[in-house]
Amino acid sequence: MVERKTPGEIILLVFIYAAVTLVGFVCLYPMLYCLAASFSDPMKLLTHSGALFFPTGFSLRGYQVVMNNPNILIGYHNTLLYVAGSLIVGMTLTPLGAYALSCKGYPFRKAIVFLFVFTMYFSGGMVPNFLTISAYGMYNTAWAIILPTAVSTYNMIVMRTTFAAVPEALRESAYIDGANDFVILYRIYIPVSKATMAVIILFYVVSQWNSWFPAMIYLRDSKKWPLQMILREILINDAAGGISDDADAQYLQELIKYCTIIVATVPILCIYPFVQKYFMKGVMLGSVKG
Amino acid sequence: MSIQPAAAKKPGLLRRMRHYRNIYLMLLPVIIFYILFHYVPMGGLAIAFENYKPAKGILGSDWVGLKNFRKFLTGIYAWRVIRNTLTLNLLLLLFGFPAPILLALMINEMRENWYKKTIQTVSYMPHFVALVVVCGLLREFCLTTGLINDIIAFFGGTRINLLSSLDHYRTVYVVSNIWQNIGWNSIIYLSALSSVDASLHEAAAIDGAGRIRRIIHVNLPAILPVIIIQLILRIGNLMTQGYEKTILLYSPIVYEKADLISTYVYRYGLEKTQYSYGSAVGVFNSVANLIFLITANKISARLSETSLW
Amino acid sequence: MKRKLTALLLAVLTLCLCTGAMAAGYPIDTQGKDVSLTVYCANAISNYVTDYNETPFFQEMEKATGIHINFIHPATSGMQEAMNLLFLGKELPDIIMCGNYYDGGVFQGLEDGYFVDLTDYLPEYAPDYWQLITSGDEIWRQVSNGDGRVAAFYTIKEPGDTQHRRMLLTQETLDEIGATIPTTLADVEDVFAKMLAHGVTPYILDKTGYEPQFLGMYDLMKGFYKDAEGNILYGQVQPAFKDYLTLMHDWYEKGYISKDFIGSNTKNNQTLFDTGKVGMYFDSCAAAYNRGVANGKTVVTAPYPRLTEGQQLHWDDYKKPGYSMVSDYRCTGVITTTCKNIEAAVQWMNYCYTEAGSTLANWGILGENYDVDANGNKVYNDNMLKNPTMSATNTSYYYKQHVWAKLRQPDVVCHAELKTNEGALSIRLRWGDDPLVDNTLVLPTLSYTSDQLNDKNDIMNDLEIYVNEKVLQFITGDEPLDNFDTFVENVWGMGLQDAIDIVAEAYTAYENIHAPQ
Repeated sequence: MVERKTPGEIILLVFIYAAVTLVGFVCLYPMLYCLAASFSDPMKLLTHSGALFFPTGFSLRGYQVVMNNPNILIGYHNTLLYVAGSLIVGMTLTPLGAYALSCKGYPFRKAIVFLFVFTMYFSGGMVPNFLTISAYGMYNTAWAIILPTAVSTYNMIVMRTTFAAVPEALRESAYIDGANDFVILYRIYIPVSKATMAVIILFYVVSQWNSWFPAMIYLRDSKKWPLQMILREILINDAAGGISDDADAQYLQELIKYCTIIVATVPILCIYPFVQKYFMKGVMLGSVKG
Repeated sequence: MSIQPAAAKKPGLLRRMRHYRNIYLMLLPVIIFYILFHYVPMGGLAIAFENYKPAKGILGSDWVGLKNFRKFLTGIYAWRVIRNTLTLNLLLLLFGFPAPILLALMINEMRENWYKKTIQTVSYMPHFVALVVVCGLLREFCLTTGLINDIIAFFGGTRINLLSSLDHYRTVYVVSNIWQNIGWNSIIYLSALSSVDASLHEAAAIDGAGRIRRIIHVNLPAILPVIIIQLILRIGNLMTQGYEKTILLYSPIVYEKADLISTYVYRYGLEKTQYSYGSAVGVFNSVANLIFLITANKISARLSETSLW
Repeated sequence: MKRKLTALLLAVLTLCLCTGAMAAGYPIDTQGKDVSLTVYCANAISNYVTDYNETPFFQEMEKATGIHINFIHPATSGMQEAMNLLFLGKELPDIIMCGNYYDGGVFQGLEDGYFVDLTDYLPEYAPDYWQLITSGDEIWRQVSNGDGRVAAFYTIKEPGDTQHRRMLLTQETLDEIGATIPTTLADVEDVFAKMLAHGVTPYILDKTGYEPQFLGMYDLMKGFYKDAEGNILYGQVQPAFKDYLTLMHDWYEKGYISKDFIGSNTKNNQTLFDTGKVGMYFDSCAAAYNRGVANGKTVVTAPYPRLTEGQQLHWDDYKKPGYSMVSDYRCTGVITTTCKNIEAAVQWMNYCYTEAGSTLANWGILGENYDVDANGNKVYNDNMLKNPTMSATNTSYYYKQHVWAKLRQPDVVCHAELKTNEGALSIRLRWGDDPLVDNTLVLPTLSYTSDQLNDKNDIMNDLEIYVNEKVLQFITGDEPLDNFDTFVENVWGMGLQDAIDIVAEAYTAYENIHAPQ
């Protein structure tokens, strides 16, 4: 397809590319800072001021402390387990709920939506949740991490919005062909909404990846802690309680902060390219025509 | 519409439900999930109406009714913190809500190549940088000797510590929020934009619409449902956002504008955990949020086709 | 050989000197039963060991006491929440080292029936600890409640430590500006003026605007304190507080105080000082000294500032005459009522107050991390101070337990971090022998009933918001100092008198407690 660009359009494109580049640079800076800082010498880092683009005094000291922690590999392993478990539960229940909510006309529909939305605002609080989880026998087990947060009302609503945008004609013709709602959901709606599916999966994965509070409350064994929990511990503990007369320990804490961020974030950043390909324009439109 | 005798209504309901039985079947596991993990613990809301003592448990603690609510609302600073919370979040809404949409629209216009992919990936990196670090960087930039003041001085202004200044604190807060979240929040819009039918664009182009017109008349309407839902949900968060970041950035000298409901309650519970007080304030926030949500939803239902329910 | 004989002799003597010798002997006599205890405590070196049983200290303790310990190490972040939830569960550990995190304090835990009332067990099963806490009124008051009950094992600290937080300057800066270590207010201002002229920001004030050492010059303390007659006062409403504020405001205007002090924090201040951007600030002296060594600077301390030469200061509580008590999440040991062998638990906790146990906890293991030199003094070796994997901070929790429920020797005697170089110890000791300092203004740590605490909090919460905001505004000039009287009036109007009455009540109760004979 050949597009002839008008001068106005060229100016617009220039403006867009410039703005987007500026945003990109400004957004890159914090990450670059963390990366550069994490490879720096602890003392030089603390006494450095101003912008940081390259490590000041190259050193692997921070990473040594973080990676030598006996629990770090356990942390990765646990997080992967929790992410996978949560995703399976979440991506089973969420599309079911989203599809059902996107259908119209059945009794109590509004009440059910309200019941789901209500939970976004009202929650018993830390203590009742703890009592409930304990009563179910899930205290100190992986289930306490996987299950309670597996379904997010927010994600379900986003998915519902996408499903609602799919033309009714598709569903109606499928009914005529003898398909029931389950078939329609799995054979038509989900494949057509690949972009949203990818996004919701990304949201669930990131949310579970970053989570540490439930682990703090429900997991007594340090062997079950997820990565973020372990990283928090590393950060807090390397000055053994705060006040330290040891110059080394004080400097190290600042450095470790950046190393833990890199260690926690890099894996998740690697996922995005896989999700991105679903965002390319015109990828899944074929089935919608006619 | 035909008038049906009252007796005929009952079987109508059951029959309708049977007709939709697959829908209910789909909803069943989800509903069970919500009951197990959301509604069972919700009985704990009673804590807000009790003088909760952990040793006595939820059932054994004394009932005090609305005492905790009164304690919060009649406090000297109650109005101030409520006002601050609402103002800050409305500002965030005003400036922070459109920004990701604009970014998504712009990125969508880029040609499909490595640069576009890179920009996308880079734009949401700040979301992953821990708040602690972002605020640390911010505090450095806002020092009288910091980067932002260097720029201000370059243009002839006086150097002031921006985070200690009542006039500038909110600006720093809002702008840095946009900085950190613009990329991540644009993902949902990018995803929606990618499902826009290319043929619509072709048709519009044939009709002589330039790029900007196509963006406004094809792209925007296509993602309008997503925008509206995001807006409604965001309005439902007005009372509760901002806790962690405020703790990292504020100081007593800017309490007048910076102190939020959540930070005020947090300090209250430092000496001794105030379960009931915290829970009551939480209920208050939730009720307010829900009212905002329902209002926004009603307005949206009236003005457009999109609403939560 | 001679060392072994002496040790043996000491052991026998100690054994004989103990009253109730059978019950307090080590290893603990468990009457044939296989006893093991669960201990809930933070792992201070979680970066190096996953379980405290991997540390030489606890291995040695197991040998000495004959009791095996199963450790439960909660996450250090969020210990308060975890503690609150621990008591909702069914299985409680036998011993909890962070009893102070129990909501309402250890005595609330006692009242609620979770913690064992130790008072009747101590004389027989923990005679060393009992002897220490009944050795004087002051220490007894810190450890017991109004009814003479004891619920926890705390750090009991021997006297002899000197103040660690001091006014810090660098010798290099002093030399450059041609000044000497200031002792009076006039000296301090002189140094500031010279620093400013030299292009260095003189002083970074603490972000709250309060500096105890400058407040102390005016015989003031922040918050509640007492006068010589025992009346309770609140510092920020005293007339002299206006003088303090005027001084700070004056310094702020002149540029002596950094304009960024409000948004700063300790770490930031340290960096500014270390890089020479700020000339003076208050902080831990040995830590600053060690950082200075790493940066090539010589950190020096100044004595407490005074209005005039020879002024008697009344605000320093650091040098206590007798034993003092320290309680934090590592050294508040309580025994839960679900423990099946309370006697054994009490005896185990008592070990670190005995001579042998105290030496172990304060120094470590002879031959492994310390040796005894020709003069009989204990000296740390390289395992402790120059360990290849752990810094001195960490080895202090590996070979010994720097903070624990024990009889604790002064830092200047046995703290490894002070022994890493000569200067660290001497800077800590300097000015420690100042005779013109006493503690008549200092209010001891009082204990309040649950109701008292609630009422006090209800008043002080909002009151302190107001006060802290206004203090900063007075200093920066956003609020003119002429409004000080209105400020004081407003504070009284917020219920200060009621709060003072509560504190006075608690103080009277405190003074009426006397140690059992």
